[in-house]
Amino acid sequence: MIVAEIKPLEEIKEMVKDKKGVLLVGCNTCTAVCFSSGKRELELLQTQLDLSLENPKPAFWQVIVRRACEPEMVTEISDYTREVEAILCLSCGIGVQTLSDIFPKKQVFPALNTSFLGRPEKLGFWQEVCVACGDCILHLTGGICPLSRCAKGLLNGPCGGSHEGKCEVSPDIPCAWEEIFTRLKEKNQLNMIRKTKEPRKVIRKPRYLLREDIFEDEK
Amino acid sequence: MGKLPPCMAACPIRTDARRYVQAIALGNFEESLRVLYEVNPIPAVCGRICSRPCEDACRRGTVDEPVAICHLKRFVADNADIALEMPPIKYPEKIAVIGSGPAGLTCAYELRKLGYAVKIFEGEPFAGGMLRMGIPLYRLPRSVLDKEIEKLKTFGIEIETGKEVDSRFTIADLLEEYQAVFLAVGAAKNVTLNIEGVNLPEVYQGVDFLKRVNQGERPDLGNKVVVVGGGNTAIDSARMAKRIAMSEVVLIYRRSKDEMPADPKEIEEAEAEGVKVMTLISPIKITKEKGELKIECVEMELGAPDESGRPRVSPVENSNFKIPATSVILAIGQVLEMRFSRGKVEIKKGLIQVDPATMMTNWIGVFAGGDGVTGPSTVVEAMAQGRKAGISIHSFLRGIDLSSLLPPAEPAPQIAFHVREKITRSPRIKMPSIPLKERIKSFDEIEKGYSIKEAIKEAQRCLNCMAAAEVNPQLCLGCLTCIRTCPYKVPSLLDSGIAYISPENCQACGLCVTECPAKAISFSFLPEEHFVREVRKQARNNGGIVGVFCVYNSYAAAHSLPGIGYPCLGKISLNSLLQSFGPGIKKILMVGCPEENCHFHSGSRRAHKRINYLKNFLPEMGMNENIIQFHQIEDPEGSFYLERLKEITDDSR
Repeated sequence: MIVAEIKPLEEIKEMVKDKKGVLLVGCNTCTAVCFSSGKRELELLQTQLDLSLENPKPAFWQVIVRRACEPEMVTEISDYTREVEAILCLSCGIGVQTLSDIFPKKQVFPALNTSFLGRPEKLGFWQEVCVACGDCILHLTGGICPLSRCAKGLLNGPCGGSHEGKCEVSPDIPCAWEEIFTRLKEKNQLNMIRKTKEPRKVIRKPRYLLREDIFEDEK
Repeated sequence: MGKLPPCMAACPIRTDARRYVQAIALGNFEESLRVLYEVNPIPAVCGRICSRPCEDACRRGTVDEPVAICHLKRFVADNADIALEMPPIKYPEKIAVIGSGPAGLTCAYELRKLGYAVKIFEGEPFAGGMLRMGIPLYRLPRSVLDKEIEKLKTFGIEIETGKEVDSRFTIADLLEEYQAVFLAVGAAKNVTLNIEGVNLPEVYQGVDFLKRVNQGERPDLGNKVVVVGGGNTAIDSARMAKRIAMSEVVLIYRRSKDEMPADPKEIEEAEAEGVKVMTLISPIKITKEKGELKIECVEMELGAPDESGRPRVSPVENSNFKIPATSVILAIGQVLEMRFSRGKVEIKKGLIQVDPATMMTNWIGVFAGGDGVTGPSTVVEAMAQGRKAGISIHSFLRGIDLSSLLPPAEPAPQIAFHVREKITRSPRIKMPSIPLKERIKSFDEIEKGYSIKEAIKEAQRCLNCMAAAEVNPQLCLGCLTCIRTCPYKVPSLLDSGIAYISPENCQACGLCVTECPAKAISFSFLPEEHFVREVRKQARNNGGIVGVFCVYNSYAAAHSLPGIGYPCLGKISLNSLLQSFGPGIKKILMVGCPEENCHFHSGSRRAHKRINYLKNFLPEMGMNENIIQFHQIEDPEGSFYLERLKEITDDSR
């Protein structure tokens, strides 16, 4: 899922302090699950703003969109936006952009910093595990992605900086390449590690995905 | 109606035991008593002599021992006081109740609550029926009974004593003035044993004997008393005899101990007091030779079960033997007292016949209940009959469907094994009692009642069954947070991808409620706004200083400490904490238990983490992080809490 965290309060306060009416929009998908955009955090943020902004402070409203990345779902909240001057969007950057597109006359502020593609390792702890490189090699690396989990992003590892399973960059970071080594050994596939991986495909930006069988360019 | 807490479902009068026990756990005794009075007109009596079906059903029993629900009822009835407000008369009909025992009192109470004028007629000079005549003094001091009956009078129940329903004052007469009559005449007449010698002066009838002793008589029983029978009257008679004569008391019963209808606890106590219980013995003759009383008995043996399911007994041939005695008390059964004028009411085998669904007799408008209908039973069963009849009379007079007024009760099933294992064990608190040696020297009440500390501690053993957190499927994201948070591993994910919290397993710790990112989980018994509302109220009254303590941690003073007693600080959400720092707040003191002592395992730890998280962003909000003081320390008496609270209050001046 997409992992994001709430921006420092100071930054958010700066964004909304002079506005008359602000709509807090939450997103009930990835970023809600990592405690950044669900009802719980929306209410908490509103309390924080209410208690810390000086008068005259904005009036706040709240609404939660099922998936803020989907234009149709964002359109559903049009009624809520009518009275407000600004939208404070608690979603990943995708949602912020969808809201900006759907409500071009409103000022849309991002309340979150979108961080990475990750997964919950423990309650309250998320770890980046994918960089969306567009050229997956997980079958060669024992199901462990070196691009996201190796501090150096090495495609061919390990380097010489692995010490007792930890990375030289920080003793808190497990060495992804040692993990790959162990996993491949478990699978009896250690030969894979000897195979040199070629340089990645060049990523052409902006990226897009088009499914010809499904795509319809009506209008 | 959903499944009920098993204690409530098991209670014949549907006392919401969970709710009154939980109120004690929070130190809120008056609230607890209020819950009791919802259905029970005589809580102090029941708190002493109830047969406690609730405790047999209590699910704590599968963890360690059942909660002492009955002792807690007594505690609250003895230690809290609320005025019973007289309900307004809403209906023109009047109801006459014959008999002021548990069935009559409860029926009158129910009808008075519903808004009818009720009058009780009692043949004896004092109200109370078998409670006064039958229950031994050492189990129920009469001052307790008197107080409860007086209270019912202030509730608007009229009681006329010394008014027998007889040939001069009949049911038909009553029906001229009253639109319904409830017969709660009891079953105080002894079934006599059809053997030689029962009319000898040394032979007493169980109920008469109890009645005489309870009224102050002390008959000369001699040095060896034989009691015949195995029910509660027999046991009570034996224990009373022990106290009067301080002599040898033998109880003989024709079946085995397993078949004895008396409360097993009472049998145990009787034996502990020195009553010798002999089973499989039946008397066949009582003789008096040369001034010496002898009971000729025969040994019995158990056979195949009869229609009542109890084994048939038959005498063993040539097993006759004699027991010498100085007096005999016969307590082999009781039937309806036929002294009252029955009119058209159908009576069979000494019992009034009623339609079990409505409690109405064959005479329209005449209802009956209690021992007079069932034969000797427990006090709470008699009360249940009174309550049911009261509701049925209401349905009869108003034309309301009775089934809607008396919904069936389905108890919650047992707690799943994996959940049970995670519940902290804590033994039941023993009822302080007079030492055995002292007991039989007087008629003083044996049990002394819990202290405040004991009562709260015991009440906190209650598992708060079915007060479960509930998932709103419309809001649930299926994010697994509840599953990861629950210390008891109760939540699960349905095939639809939505979380499910089984109400029969939830321990109501509240941690999933506070952590759910979608706020899809809630408690009906403790809404989130509650905390903020309480804090604001406290802040207004105490110059902005608010104290919050965990009631499990400071249990011994939960009833008296100033501030807000919370059933685990882990139940307070981050947002409610923050909201409570609104205008008017100077400082909040929170004292919870050390993490390893937490009643709900991880509640105190989670509260700690939340407060640290909060303190991190308070400066960004322009607030001093010292606005909140949080301590985790064992503080049963609340002395640490009080000291800190005083310190903070002094500082703020």
